[in-house]
Amino acid sequence: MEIDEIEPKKFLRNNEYDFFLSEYFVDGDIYPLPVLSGENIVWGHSVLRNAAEKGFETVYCRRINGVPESNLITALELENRKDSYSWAEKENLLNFINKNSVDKNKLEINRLVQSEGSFISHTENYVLLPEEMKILVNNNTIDIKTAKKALGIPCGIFKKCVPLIKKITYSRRRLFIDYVSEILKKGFLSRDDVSVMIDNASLQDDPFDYVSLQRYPHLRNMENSFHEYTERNLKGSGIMLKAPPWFEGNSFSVSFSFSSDKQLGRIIEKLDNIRKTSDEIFRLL
Amino acid sequence: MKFSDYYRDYYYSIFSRIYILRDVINERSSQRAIGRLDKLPVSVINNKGEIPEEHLNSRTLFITKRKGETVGRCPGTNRHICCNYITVDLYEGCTLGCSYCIMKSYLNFAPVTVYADSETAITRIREIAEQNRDRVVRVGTGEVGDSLQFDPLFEMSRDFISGLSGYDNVYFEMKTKTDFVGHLLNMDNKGNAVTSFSLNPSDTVESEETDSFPLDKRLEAAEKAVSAGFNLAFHFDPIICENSWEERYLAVADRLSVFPEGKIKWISLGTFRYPPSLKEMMEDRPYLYNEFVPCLDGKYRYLQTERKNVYRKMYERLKERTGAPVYLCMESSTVWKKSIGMVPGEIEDLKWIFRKTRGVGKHSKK
Repeated sequence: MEIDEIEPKKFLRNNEYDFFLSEYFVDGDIYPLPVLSGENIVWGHSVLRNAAEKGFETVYCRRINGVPESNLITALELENRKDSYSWAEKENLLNFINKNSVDKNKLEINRLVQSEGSFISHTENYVLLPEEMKILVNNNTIDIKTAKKALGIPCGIFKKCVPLIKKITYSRRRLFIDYVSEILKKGFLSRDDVSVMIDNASLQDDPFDYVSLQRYPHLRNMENSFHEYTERNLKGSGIMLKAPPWFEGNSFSVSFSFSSDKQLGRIIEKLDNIRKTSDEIFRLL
Repeated sequence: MKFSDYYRDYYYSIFSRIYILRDVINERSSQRAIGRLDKLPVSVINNKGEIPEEHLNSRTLFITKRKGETVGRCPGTNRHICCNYITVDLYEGCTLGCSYCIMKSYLNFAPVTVYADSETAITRIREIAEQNRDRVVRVGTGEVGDSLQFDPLFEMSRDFISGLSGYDNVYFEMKTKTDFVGHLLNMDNKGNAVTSFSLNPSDTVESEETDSFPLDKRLEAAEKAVSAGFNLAFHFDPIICENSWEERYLAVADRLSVFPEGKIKWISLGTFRYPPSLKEMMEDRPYLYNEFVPCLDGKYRYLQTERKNVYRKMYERLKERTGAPVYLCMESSTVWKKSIGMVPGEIEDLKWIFRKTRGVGKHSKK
């Protein structure tokens, strides 16, 4: 049944009204009802399906004759679930956009699909991914940006990385992939050697730490030297010695607390020892 | 050397068309360029917006005039020592194809822009020179483009050199990666004009400065310039610390010993650096995957220990070979102290360079 302007309460019987009310709201009402263009339903497939299951023989519809772009906007508005579309759904949306030459720069469409970034460019990246990588994106093991970076990693090596990245935190996963990808790009190691590196990483307690050492060998060695120095000279002393971030700068900072003159004496002794051996740490700056 | 013999084919290989703002059509420099590239189609426009989108690329030469302040202090970088340089935007953009150029990512989608109204800038520099009679004014045109790549076409540097030659406190610098000095050599009044050359080892030039001119050509041009009476300057920036950098860069430093003492007015050093937002916009080159860390100004640089080592070795070698003032570009006071032992204000031959010029505002960051 087609009607152009509708006042739901007037046209719908009570049980129909309750049904539609339970199916969807738009701005606190059920208007507009599922929309049709020609014979194609633009939005409301599940509403119709549920209506049929409940025994409705007719549903009220509103015919629209919009262009694909406005039909898409209507459907996305009614769907009203920004930021919760699956990648498969976004791929379908992108296919529709491409097939119907919808303007990809239409910000309104992007705004209805996701809050941040461009869903179109993200989805364009997604469709290029091999199936096994799509699965990782779908189940949130990695995000799309990380997946895009991972495309530069040969398939065999990436497959070895997958069980390792599952062991580490989400924020470190991107770094892990970055590091492997950059080690390959830099040519620090050959592909075969990178493959061996991943094998070795899998034997470590902290595979991320192992890979980051390969990516930033000098920086990590400096961090390790500094850590080793503080362990050797200050462990258990209550003194906290800090290097400047990234060893960029000219000064170290030290902090401590004490609750007796005896304790203060021990701290002063330790600090004096630091003074005598400080060449070891100043060479890191 | 005649323009037609050497330059015409070069510019025809670079440009396909010219757009010129109506306001500058009668400028001498505009007329020179249009006359010399008479096979190219010329469109006269009232504003840049009239250039069709498909022509917004480096195959287009856009001749225009400046808006707003014409001369400004180099924006420098936060919490790092700045060399108090004054810049004039004359030629914006170049086609020399340096992989490390952070402007290139923008300029691929922008015409090479030439500001043809040089007189306004010259007048402003004269004012600054008058205000700073007791100190030196170093001013250059090479911040947002190559000072000499398009200069044989427009010959605007001649106007600057002549126009500023009466000021003995002004050092007008033309910085280039070309050997295009021929059109300047026969000038009578050069004042303190400085022809300067960006230098990198030959293999780095070949791999990372692909459409620029070979190191040998640049050094030959430097010899011609100094023989003609120009001052010289050299810039090792960016120094790319890849395999055996030390041997390769020190060998280039050694080659500067042929230039007469006192004619090299300054040499600058700067290791490769980049703001984080631009890493992904830059070409994917292996040197980008060295060990970089965020510095106090937010830019990424090599580890401080590495920079310290590079600067110390380069500084010592360059001082030994040339005796010229050598300074670091956009480095922290810590790195100055750790590599050279002092900050510029404590170094006798740098004091005149780093003394702040009065009455010049900062140029906006590019």
